[in-house]
Parts: sequence; C-alpha cells; structure tokens
Amino acid sequence: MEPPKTNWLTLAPAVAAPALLLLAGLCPAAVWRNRPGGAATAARGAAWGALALAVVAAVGLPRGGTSGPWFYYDRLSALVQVLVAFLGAVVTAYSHRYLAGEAGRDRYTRWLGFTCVSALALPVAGNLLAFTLVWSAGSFGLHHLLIHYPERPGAQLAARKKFIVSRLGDLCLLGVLWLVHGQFGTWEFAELLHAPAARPAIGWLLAVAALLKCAQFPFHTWLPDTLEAPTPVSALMHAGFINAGGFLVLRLAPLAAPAPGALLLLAYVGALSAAFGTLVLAAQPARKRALAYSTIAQMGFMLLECGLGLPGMALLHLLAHALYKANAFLRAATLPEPKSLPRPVDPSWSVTPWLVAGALFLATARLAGLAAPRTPGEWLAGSLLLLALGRLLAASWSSGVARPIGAALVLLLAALGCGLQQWVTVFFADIPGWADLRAVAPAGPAAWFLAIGFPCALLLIESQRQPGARRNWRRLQIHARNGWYCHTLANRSVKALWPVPPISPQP
Amino acid sequence: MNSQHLADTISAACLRMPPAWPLDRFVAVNPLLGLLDRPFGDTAAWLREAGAGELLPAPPGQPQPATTAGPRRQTLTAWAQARLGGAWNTTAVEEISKWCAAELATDGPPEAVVATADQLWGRWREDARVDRNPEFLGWRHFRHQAAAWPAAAEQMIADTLDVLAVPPAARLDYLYLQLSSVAGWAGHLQWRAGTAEAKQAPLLPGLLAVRLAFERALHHQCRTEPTLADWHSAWASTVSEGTPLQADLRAREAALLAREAAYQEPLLERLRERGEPPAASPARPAVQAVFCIDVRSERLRRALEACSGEIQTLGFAGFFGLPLARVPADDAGPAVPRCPVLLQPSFRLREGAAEACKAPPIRRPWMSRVATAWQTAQNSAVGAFSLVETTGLACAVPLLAGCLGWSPAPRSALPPPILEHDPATETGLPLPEQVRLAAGILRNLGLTGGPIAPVVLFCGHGSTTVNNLHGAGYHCGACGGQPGDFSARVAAALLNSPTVRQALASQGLPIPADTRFLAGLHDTVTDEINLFETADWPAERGPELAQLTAWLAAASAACRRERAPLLDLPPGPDAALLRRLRARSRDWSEVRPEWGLAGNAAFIAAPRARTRGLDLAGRTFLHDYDPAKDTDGSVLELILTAPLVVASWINLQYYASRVDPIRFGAGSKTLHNLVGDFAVGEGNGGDLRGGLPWQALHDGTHWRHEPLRLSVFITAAPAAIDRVLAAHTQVRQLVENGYLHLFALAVDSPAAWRCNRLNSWLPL
Repeated sequence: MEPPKTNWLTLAPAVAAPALLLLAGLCPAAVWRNRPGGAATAARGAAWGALALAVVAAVGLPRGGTSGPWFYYDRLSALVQVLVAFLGAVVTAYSHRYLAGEAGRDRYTRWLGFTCVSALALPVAGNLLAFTLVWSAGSFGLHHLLIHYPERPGAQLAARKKFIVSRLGDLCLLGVLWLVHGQFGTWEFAELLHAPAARPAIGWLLAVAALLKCAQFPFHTWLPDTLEAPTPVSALMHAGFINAGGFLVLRLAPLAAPAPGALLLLAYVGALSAAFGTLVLAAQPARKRALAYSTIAQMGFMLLECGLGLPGMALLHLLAHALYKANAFLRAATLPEPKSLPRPVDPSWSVTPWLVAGALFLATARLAGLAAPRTPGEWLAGSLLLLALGRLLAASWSSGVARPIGAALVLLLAALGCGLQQWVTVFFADIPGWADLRAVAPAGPAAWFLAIGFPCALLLIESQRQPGARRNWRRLQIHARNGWYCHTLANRSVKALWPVPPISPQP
Repeated sequence: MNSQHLADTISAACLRMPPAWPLDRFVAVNPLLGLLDRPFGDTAAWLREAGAGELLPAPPGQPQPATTAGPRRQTLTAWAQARLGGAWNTTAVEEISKWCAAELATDGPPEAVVATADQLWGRWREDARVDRNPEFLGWRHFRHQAAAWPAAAEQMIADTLDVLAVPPAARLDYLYLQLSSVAGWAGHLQWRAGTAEAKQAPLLPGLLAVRLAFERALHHQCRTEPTLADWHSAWASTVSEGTPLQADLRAREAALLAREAAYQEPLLERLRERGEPPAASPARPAVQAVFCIDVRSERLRRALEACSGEIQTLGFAGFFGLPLARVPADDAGPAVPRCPVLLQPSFRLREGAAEACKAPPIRRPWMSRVATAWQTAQNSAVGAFSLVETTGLACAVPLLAGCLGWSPAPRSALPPPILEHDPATETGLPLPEQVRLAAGILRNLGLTGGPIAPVVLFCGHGSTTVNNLHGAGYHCGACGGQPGDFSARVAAALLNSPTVRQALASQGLPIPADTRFLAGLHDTVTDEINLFETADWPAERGPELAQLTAWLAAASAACRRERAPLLDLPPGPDAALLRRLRARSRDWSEVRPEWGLAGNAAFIAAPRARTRGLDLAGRTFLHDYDPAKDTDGSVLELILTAPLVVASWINLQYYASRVDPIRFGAGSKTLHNLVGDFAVGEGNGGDLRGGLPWQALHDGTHWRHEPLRLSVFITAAPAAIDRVLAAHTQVRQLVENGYLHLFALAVDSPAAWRCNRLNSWLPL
C-alpha cells in the first residue's frame, strides 16, 4: 500500500487544535493577575475551539488519510483526536466551576491544558520520535495533575508509583526508537507504516509498553490510588490517557504484527487483568475505586481484542469505554435513586432467557450476514455479546419487565452489536497494518484456550456473585477486597525505594 | 473493675459519639453531642490534649496549629506512630474503614446485615483470620492473634484494657478516643442502631472491640520497647492532674467571647429598642405567610414584608408540626421521614393523584424496571464488556447535556399528597387525627388568638442542585434533610378541608370562611417561590392570588439582589441574575450552589413585631413566640427542646467544621468518594468524613462562616425558662456549659437578662 499524500489543507486544523490549546496555556500569568478565573475561562474557550478544529479536520479528511513530515492523519487519528478533544473540552469546562476558589487553580489549569495538548497531538504525530516525546509529555502533565494536592501523602505515593511505571514504558519506546532506526533508518510513519516486516523485538517492546500504559496486572496498582486527585483528573485519565496503550498498538500495528508471540502476550495479560479487575471491583464499596478497577478490566479487554486480531473492535471499545467512563466519573457525586425494592435476584439460573437471547442473537447475526466465527477473536467477540444479551434478558425478566419488551431490547442490542461489528470492518478497512493484525492473529491452541476460557471464567465469576453463593465466596472476597495484596506490596516497595516525606495536612 | 462498671463505661463512651445521618437525609448534627456535660473551655482543652480536635478558633491572622501538635494522651497506635515512626494509626484506621465499608455497604438480604455488637466483632474477627493485609503492612502475626481473641466484644474490650493496663480513671476517655479515631464509621453505626426501621441493638461496642484489637496487636508487637512506659505515664499523669486550661486556649476563649459580644450587643440593643408594648391589636392582614425558622427565610421574610404593610410573616419549624413520612407516587421509592430527626414519623402519607390510589396494585413504570435490569446487566461480570462496547458511544449525550446544563424537570411537577386514610397500605390519616393535627398547627403558630388572614401561605424550602452528594444538607433540616414542599402541602390541605374546619369550629377554633390556605416552596438557590395547587384556587378570588404572586416575585428578586454579591455574581437586571442562579442550580460541576446556613449566629423566639424591619443579614433563626398566648408554658417548652436544639446542632456543626476542618469537616468535595450510597470518604480511603465540606464554608479567599456560638433571645420571663431548663438536661447543659448564649427579653419593656446557669440571671 502506498503512503498517503500530503494535504496541508486537511492537516492544518488537526495540527491547529493542540496548538490553540497550547497558546492559551502559554499566556503569561501576569495577564490573569487581576482576573481570578480568567485562565480557566480562556482554557475552556480554547478547549471547545480545539474540539471544533478537530471536527473540521475529521470532516474534511480524504479517504486514505494524509500525511506530512512529522504528521500522519487518517481515520484512526481523526476519530481518536475528536474523542480526546471532546473529553478535553468536557473536562476543562467541568473544572471551571469545580476547582473555583482553589489555591492551585491556575497551576491546575495549565497542567490540564498541557496534558490535553499532548493528548491531542498524539493521534496526529507522524514520526516515532515526536510520538515518543508527546507520549512522555502527557505522562509528565498527568503527574502534575495527580499531585494537585501536594500535601496529601497518598497523592504523592500514587504519582510516584505511576511515575515509575511510566518511565518503564518510556524505556520500551526508547528501545523501539533505537531498533526502528537501526532497521529502517527513518522514524516517519508515512514510510514505517507501509514498510516491509519489522523485527519481532519491536513488536514485543510495543506490547510491553502498551501493557504498562494501560495499567495492566501487575503494574496496575497506581491507578486505583489516584483518587487523591480532583475528580475531573480521574475522568480525563480513565477516559483519555489510559487509552494511549491501545492506540499505540493500533497505530503501530504494522510494527507489532510481525510478533505473534507479543500479540499472544497482550491477549493473555489483558484477559488476566480483565478477570482480575472484574473480581476486585465487585468487592470495592467506594464508587470511584470500583470505577478504577473497572477501567483496569476494560483496558484488559481492549488489549485482549488487539491481541486476538480484532483491531476494529478494540478501537470501538476504546472510544465507547472512554465516553462511558468519563460520564461515570463526572457524575460520581450523584446519589443513586432510592430503591424501594431490594436489588432483583435471579431466583435460579433458568436457561430460558439465555436460550431465547441466543436464538435472537444468532438470527440477527444471520440476517446481518455475519459469517460463523472462524478465529479465536471472532469466537470471543461473539460469545461475549451472546452472554451479555443473555444476562440482560435474565435480569429484565427477573425484575419484572414484560417479556416482549425484554426480548425487543435484546433484539435491538443484538442488531446494534452486529451492525457495529460490520461497520468497523468496512470503515477501517485501510488502516495500515490492521489486515496484518487479523491475518497473523494467534490461532493456535493457546489462543483457542483463551477465547473459550475467558467467557467461561466470567460466567464462573458471575455465578458466584449471586447472593446465594455469598457465604462460600467470603474468603475469596476478603482477598479481592485487598486486590490480592498487590497494592500493599507495591506501596511498600515504592516507599522503600522513594520515601514520601511526611507532610502535615493543611485544611 | 467489675463487669457492670465496665459495661457502663463502654456505653458511656459509645454515647459520646454523635450519630451521622446518611447522605440522602443529611442533616446537621452537633459533633460535640456527647461532650456537653463539661464546660466548653474544658472540652476544648481536653480535645486538644488528646489530639482529637481544636475547638477554639485561632485569632485572625494567626494560623490554626495542626491538631496533632504534641497531644499528650492518645491511643497507643497514634502514640506509636508519633514516637516510633511507622503508620500504625493510619493503617489501623484504613483497615477498619475498609472492612466496615465492605461489611456495611453492600446491600445483601436483611438477615445478612450485621445486627449486634457481638456479631460485628465476630465477623471482623473471622475475616481477620483470613485477611493478610495487616501482616503485609507490618502488623506481625495478626491472623494468628485474631484466632486467640475472645468471641464476645465486651470480653475483648475488658481483656484489652487489662493487657494495656489503662488506669481505671482514664478508661472512659481512652475508649472515647478509640471511637473518635474512627468517628465517621462510629457515627454511621450509631445512626444504624438508632433508626426505627432497623431496630438494631447498639453496634458501637463491636467497633470499639475492633479498634482495640489493633491497640492490642501493637502492644503485642512492641512489648519489649521500654518507651511503652511513657505512654502509661502520660495517661496516668494527665488524669490525676486534671486538665489545666493552657494559656493559649484561655486567650482564644477570651477572643471568641469578645467576637460573640461584638455580635450580640448591637443586636440586643436593637431588640430592646422595640421592647414597647405593641400598639392596639393589628387589623386583619391581607396575607399571612408562614416560613421555616431557617436563617435563609429571614431575608425572604424581610423582603416580602417590605412589599406591603398588609403582609404578616411568621416563623415556625418547616415541617409545620406534622411528623409525617412521604411515600412517593407509584411506590417509586421507600417512605422517607419528613420531620426533624429527633422525632419519629407517626404517620405516612402517599403522594399521587387521588384516583391512582384507589387502583390496586400500583405498578412501577416499565421504564424504571428496564433501567434496573440494564444496571444489573452492565454491572455483571459477563455483561460489562460487551454492553459498554455496544452502547458506550451513547454516553456522549449525557456528557454534552452536563456541559450544557440540561437536567430533568424540577420538583414542581410532583402530585399532591393524599390525606384520606387507607388501611390497606397504612397511609393517610383518619379524620380525628386530621383535626388534631390541624388544631396543633393553629395553636403552635399562634393563629388562635388573632385574626386569620384571607390568604395564608405555608412556605417550605428546598434546594435544587445536581451532582451534589451533600445536596440534602441544603434542604430543610426540620423536614429531615428533605425539601419542605410536601409538609407545606399537607398543612394547607388539612386546613382547607371543609370537614376538618367544621370539626375545628366545634372545638372553638373557627377559621374564617373566606380564608384559603396555600402551599409554596422557596428554592434557596434561585430564591424562586413555587406555589402549589393554584389550579384549585377559586376563580372569583383570582386577583388576590395575582397580588400574592406579584409580591412573592418582588420579594424573590430583592432576595436575589441581596445574595448576588455573596455568590460573586455581577450586578445586573433581575432576569439575568435569575438566569445565572438557575444555571447554577443545574450545573453538574458546581461545588458552591449556595451558602446554606453559613453565617448563622442567633436564634430569636419573639413576636415578629420585635424584629420586623430589622436587617438581620440572613444570620438568625426566627421563631414566632408570644408568651401571652402560652399560658401553660408548653409552647415555650416545645421551642426550647426542639427548634432550639436543632438550631444549636446546626450552629455547632458549622462552628466545628469551620474551626477544625480536618477533624470535624468533610474535607474537599473534589476528592469525595461515595461509599455504599450513604456517606463520603475522601481520596483513596480512610475513615468516613462527616461534617461539612470545605466548599460549603469557604469561597477560596475567605471563610464564609464566622465561628460564633449561637446567641438565643427569647421573649419570656426568666422563671418560665428556668422551669424548662430544670426539666431538660440537654438544654440545661447547652446553656450552663457555654455551648450557646441565652438571653431573656421582657415582653413589654426593654429589660433583658442573660442566663449564666439555672436560676442565675444577670440583668442587662
């Protein structure tokens, strides 16, 4: 495939989006001296402006994308940039009132802007060096947001844990830089993404960098601890920055595809983290902490999809999860509606709703023209959607929804799921390297074991969560509550390596 | 120490912990509720010595010292953390909180909920034998020790006190300090044990045993340390020497008294100036409007009275004396009490269209069932991934809606209450009860002696906020942290009922035939007043309603103008101001929707003539009280034991959250994390945070609440007040130990007295 042509007219707004935000952030502090909140207002305006620019760029994108020196812009870049710009705008607007009156508000606004600039630049970076720099810069900005309350020891500890993990990820990218330069003599994506097969070592380093970035087991312990930063920081991080690992694999798919072993690693660690996060989150009584473990699980699932050759589904998951999680965090201060009845309990594991959901799903898939699953990835995607529909139908019927309404809901969702699967296949057909990812996706016994074992594991966890099983479950719950102690052990090691000085708390 | 004595000590220590109401009915609670038996200054000194809080504000300009600066008497874990290093106290509190959250926050079947102290302790002990976390945190052989601890909570407490050799005289304080180190959970457990629905035995001894387990484990671990003797001597010495007031505390107390005097004296002067006997009984006013005693009503009452001399306003607790619980229409939620938390609701009223009530069975709308099913599936292990993947993109809509300030329709659309008695659902009221309650409203409001206006408005108050965990704290405290609309509508409906009026007339409480009662709700964010059941208003009397609406609109606008500078809103036309305030009430990112009761400083129980026209700056609770109509002193007794106590709870909660935000406040809203639907934690973990958040008291530059103890002014003879004080210990303690200032005003002369203690009044 030929590299795309340079079209500066399309590229300009995509590049201008982060630049606009950068300009707002670079305003000297003196400008805002007599206008409290002026910096936050300017940042809000710039963030919405950046969103407008990102949308304009995406709308004007020619098929096949465009690239120039240091820049690469195609459908993948466009979608991710619009997502990041939207989240950045929402979070900046939210912070405007939320942080009003805080002593460190202007500092916060600057670092928030800086982080958003990196997040907006990452999707359009078209050079491996630029990509690595922006990647690190974003992590650096996030570090400062995490210690927005520097006097809180918990904030310092979490930021340090994240710092260490992020630097390990940076090392991986430095290794990639070195290897790529050695093999191809260039860092330009326009050439790299359309070059012949890369060395497998590059794929391995990319996989490890992605796992580190996505807070995957056992490097996840910093993520649930970052609740010592204001809520919008959590929203931005869980919805925006944590996705960078997935984006790395999807963007550099041509470099990762020649290492099927690395893809299998991605899939296995992702599946492990997904199961781990699912187990632990159910034992977390604090809302934001449960959300954090849910992020670990969802990121694990996304990487599992990457590893099993479903790049389109992984991208869809990345986008959908980002919006879902940002909304969940920003509304985390809403009390749930008072419940008059206890949570519906499935009286028994009746198979009827599952069979009905299965029949509806299969019929829909057939009508939508989806072929029977041939690869472990397709099997996994299909069986999980099927299980979700079954669970939804079982829950609907047991909470008293009329049977036809429940069935209609399931039918609608099945159609939506099949439609989305079709859409990502068609719409992202020419993203460089995705066809390779699908082609080389692991399909041996190890991959089939995962594709069949993962849904079974989830089913097992789900069956144990039912109230009747609680007593036997109790010992496991105690360990799950503690996240299998990874947390305490990680804190101990980091405290020993890099002690947090005692700071007296300030009101 | 015999076991009965120990049991008494334990229950005394537990009684010192104030209960904490859950967030959906968040009401102010006096954080010093259990410490009222000693003078304010002594409590301050004692808390400082124990490192358990600072009670006296630092003089302006001088920074508040950290409360942990050199406390002498501490729990063993806190002491070890300060002297030996490590994080003993922090990890103990974190581990306890983590366990409590997991045990108490998950909604399991009712029989699985912990019900007694021994059960609480037993479950913890069982789990402690499995949980490896304390050992990873450095508590050696914790699981092994847990196996050896006694099975009964009280036995555990007794053993631990013996093992640690806590001097008998210090035991009560020592146990109190244990509980106050996990004050958030202690408050929650105290509330659980006290709720009528739960009917649980006291749970706090169980928590005490859990907390002591960590003391004992630490003792086990550092037994060999010779420094442990220091800890004992610290306890022994301070207990035997008593607690001398440190010079700094004395200076601070003097400064506090001076600031309180600076507030009281001008106010007292203004009240005394009006101490003349009122002129001839006033003509019948055009409108009587009854407001809650809440300090925010003062502004509105003043503004409304300024509209016309024909308007009379009255102050009464916002539940209008109706101890009711509201059952939402269609059983969409549980019955929630709408009365002060000191009372138990004595009847339940259903909300909904009258005909819907008669159509059994009432089904929930299918939409909410689908939502429940959706939540269940999305939170399930098998559904979480695919459902997020398929439908997550749709979350862009709520995100955008949040930024644009779209939110569901406000409360005005709710259906009216149903008064008719329905034995099947145990809702509604039989006629004799309706008459009794209606008569009570008339008597307590003092409407029996004077003329009743043709229009009487009952105006409750509530606050419209979104995405605000502490939203209930802005609602009406007298309605149990709920908006006051329902109570106002019930009061109006009762008094409008022809059968009730007939019965009242036969009891000698006639209501003029042309009198109509109306209900309204004052939204304290936007200062709008929404009237209910206006469709039922007789058409021929339309002009009266139009006139009232116009007056209320003018008063609302005046209120908004007065509040605009406090909220840092630019001056401008009223329409713009209203638009800004409405946007504020729907802003999902707003952490300071209004200032609530910040600034509260005085409670005045007097005829309105005493205060009418005075600008009290929204700082006073105003209760109507006319001793001439209260011949047997029962109304005075009611005021002193109910509204006054509630006002003092509110006042001391604001006071403590302001003076020591770390110990008594809830921390920053930006870090709040909802724990189990009922409370907030801050940041990663640790104890629950009660009290008020920083944003409720501070605008980022200045504190918006001046810490002053409540100044209470009552038009009553000192002897009458003494009779009430003698009968009610809690009120007497509040007065005698200096948790509030009490003044009596003569009814018909400028004379005034200050109460020092029972039977001791200083003429002013």
